[in-house]
Amino acid sequence: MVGCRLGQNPFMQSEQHDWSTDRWLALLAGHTTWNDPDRRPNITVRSTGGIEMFAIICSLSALLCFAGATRDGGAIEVVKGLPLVLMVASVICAVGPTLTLLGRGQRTRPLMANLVLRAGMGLMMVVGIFGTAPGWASLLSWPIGVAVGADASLTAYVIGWRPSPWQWWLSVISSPLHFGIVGGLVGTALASADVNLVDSVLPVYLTGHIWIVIACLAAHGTSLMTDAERARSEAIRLEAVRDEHRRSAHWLHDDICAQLRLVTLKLHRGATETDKVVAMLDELDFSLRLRQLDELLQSGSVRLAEVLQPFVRNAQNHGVTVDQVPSYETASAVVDRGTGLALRHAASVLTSNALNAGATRLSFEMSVDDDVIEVAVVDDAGGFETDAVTAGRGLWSLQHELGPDSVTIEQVDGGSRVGVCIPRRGATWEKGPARAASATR
Amino acid sequence: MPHLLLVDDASALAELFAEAIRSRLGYEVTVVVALADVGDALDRIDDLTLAIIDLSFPQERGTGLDALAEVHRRRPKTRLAIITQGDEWVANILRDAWELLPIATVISKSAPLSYQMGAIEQVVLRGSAPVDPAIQPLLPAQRSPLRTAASFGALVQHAGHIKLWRALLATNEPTYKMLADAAGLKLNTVKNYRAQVVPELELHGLHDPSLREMGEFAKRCRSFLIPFLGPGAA
Repeated sequence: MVGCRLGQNPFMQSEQHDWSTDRWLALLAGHTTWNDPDRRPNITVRSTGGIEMFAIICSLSALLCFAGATRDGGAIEVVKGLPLVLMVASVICAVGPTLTLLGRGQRTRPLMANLVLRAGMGLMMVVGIFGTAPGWASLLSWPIGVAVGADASLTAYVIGWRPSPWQWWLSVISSPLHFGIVGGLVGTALASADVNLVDSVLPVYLTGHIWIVIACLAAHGTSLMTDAERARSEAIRLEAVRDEHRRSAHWLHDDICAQLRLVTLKLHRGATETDKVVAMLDELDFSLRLRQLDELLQSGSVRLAEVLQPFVRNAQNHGVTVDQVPSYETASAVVDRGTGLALRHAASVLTSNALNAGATRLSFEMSVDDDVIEVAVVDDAGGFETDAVTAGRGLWSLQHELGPDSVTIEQVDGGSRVGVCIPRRGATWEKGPARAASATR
Repeated sequence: MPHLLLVDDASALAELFAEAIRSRLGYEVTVVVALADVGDALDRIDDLTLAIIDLSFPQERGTGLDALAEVHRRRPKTRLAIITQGDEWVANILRDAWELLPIATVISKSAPLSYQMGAIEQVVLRGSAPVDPAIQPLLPAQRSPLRTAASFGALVQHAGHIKLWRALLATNEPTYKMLADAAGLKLNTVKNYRAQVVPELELHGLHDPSLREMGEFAKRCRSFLIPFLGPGAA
C-alpha cells in the first residue's frame, strides 16, 4: 500500500504499484459511487463525460452499420436480437456520461448497487458487441476502450488516484480476471473441435486487448487533460495573487503609510491632542474596514453581517450606543457583489446621516426575503423632514440608484427611522442558519 | 482581587490592553502570547476569575478555541470571554466556541476602550455581559442545547470512526484514497464510515460536507474530538 503523502496534491503523486481488489471494485462501481461535493463536475470532468458518451455512440454506430451491411447475404451471420441488446446497453451506459457532460449532479448509490448495475450493463455490451460483430469484425468496437478509459479516469479523479498508463495496463494483464478470460478462451478452443482458433478465439482476445490498451491510453490522456486544466487554473491564480500583492503594496504606500505619517508628524509637532489622535486613528481604522469590505465584495459574494459590521463599529467609535443589530439568522444571508455594494452604500448613508444629526443611540434593523433586503437605521436625533432629502446628497442618490420608493422615512419617538429597500440580484443562502426574516434582537 | 488571563498573539497590543485593565479596573492580569503557554499560566494562577482569549493565532497550529477548551477543562468555574475582530475567517471558530462553551461575552477588538472595560467589569461582577453589537450578527441568538462537548461522542461510534477522524486530522486536502491509505481502510469502508457520521454532523452546522470540510471541522474542533479518539490522537 502506498503511504499517504501529507499536504501534497493527490494528482501529482507518482503511484507505486497499488492495485488491490478494493481499487478494482472502486473503478467498476464508477464515479457516482463516491460522493465528495468538492469534486463535482468541473469543465474537465464534463469534457471527460462527453468523450465517454461520444465513444459509446461511435462504437454503437460502427457496429450497427456493420450489422446492417451484413444482414442480407453477408459472409458473417449476426446473431438475431443481439444488436438490440447492444443498443439497449449502449443507451443505458450513455446516460451517466451525458448527465456528467451536462453538469447534472447524479444521485450517489451504494457501492454494491452500482457494481451489480454496471457489471450487468458491461456484460450486455460485451455479448451485444461480439454477437453483432463476430470474429474480426469485433475490432470495429475499439471506441469502447476510450469509453472505458474515460470512465475509469473519472472514478480515479473522484477518489484521488492517479496511476500511470503502464500501471493501468500491467495491472489488467496481471489480474485474475485477465487470466480467467485467457483460460476460458483457450479451454473453449481446446474443448470444441468446431471452434476455429484464428477466426473465433483470437479476434475475441485481440479485441479485448485493444480495448485495454486504448482504455489505458484514454485514462492517461484524460488525466493529462485534468493536469493541464489544474496547471492553467493555478497559473491564473498565481497571476491574480501577484496583481493583488502589487495593488496592496501600492495601497499600503499611498493610503496607510501616508495617514500614519500624518499622525506621527502632528504628534512630533505637539499640535495635536490625544483625543484628536485617537479620532484620526479611528478614522483610519474605519477606512481600513471599508477597504476590507471592498476586498470581500470583490470575491463575488458577502454575508450581510460583514457589510454592516464596519458601520456598527464606526457608530460605536463615535460614542453612540448601539441598541439593536440584525440577528445571526438574518445577517448570515450571503448576497452577490451588486447587492452587497448597494447595501454598503445604504448603510453608509444611513449611518452618516444619523451621526451627523447628533444621534446618541442607534438601532440597525434588517429584513430579508427572496426579492428584497430592507435595512433601516433608527436614531434619537430628533425628527427628520421628508423635504430634507436634498438633491445630490446621500438619500437623494439612494433614491436615484434604487428607485423613488426605495427610501422610507418615519418619525419615531424622539427620532426617525430611515429605511432603504434593496432588490436582491443573485443572492444565495449560506448552508446552515434557518431563514428568519425580520428577526432582530 | 480578580485575576484575569489574557491570551493574544499580538504581544504589544496584549500588554497595553492588560495595562489598561490593571489601571482602570484594578484587576491582576497575566498575559500569554502563545497557545502552548496557556497550560503553564494555569499552573501558576491559583484563582482565575476570567480568561479573555483571542481566536486567531495564524502562526500556530491551533486556535483560540483550543485555549478556551483547555481553560474550561482545567478550571470549569473560570468565566470565559472572547476578544476578536470578528472577521469572516474566524466566524466558524467563534460560532463553535459560542455554542460549545459557556462564553460570558464576546468583545470586539475595535470597540472603544471604555466599552471593552465595561464589558470585562460586568463579566467579573455579574457573570456575563451582552455580546458586542458588532459581533452579535455572527452568533445565533439561541445556543442549541444539543450541541455540547459530549455530542462529539456521536461522531465516533466505533473504532473505525476513530481511524477515519485520525486520518482526517492528519491529511490536508483529503481524498478517499488518501484517507484509505492513512487509515489502512478500504475505499468503500471509508465511504461507509463517512456516510455514518454525516447525519451527526448536521448538529454542528455541516450539511453533506465534502471530505475537505470534514477535515477542516476536525482540525477546528480537535479539542472536543480528540478525547473520543483515544490515546495518541493529539
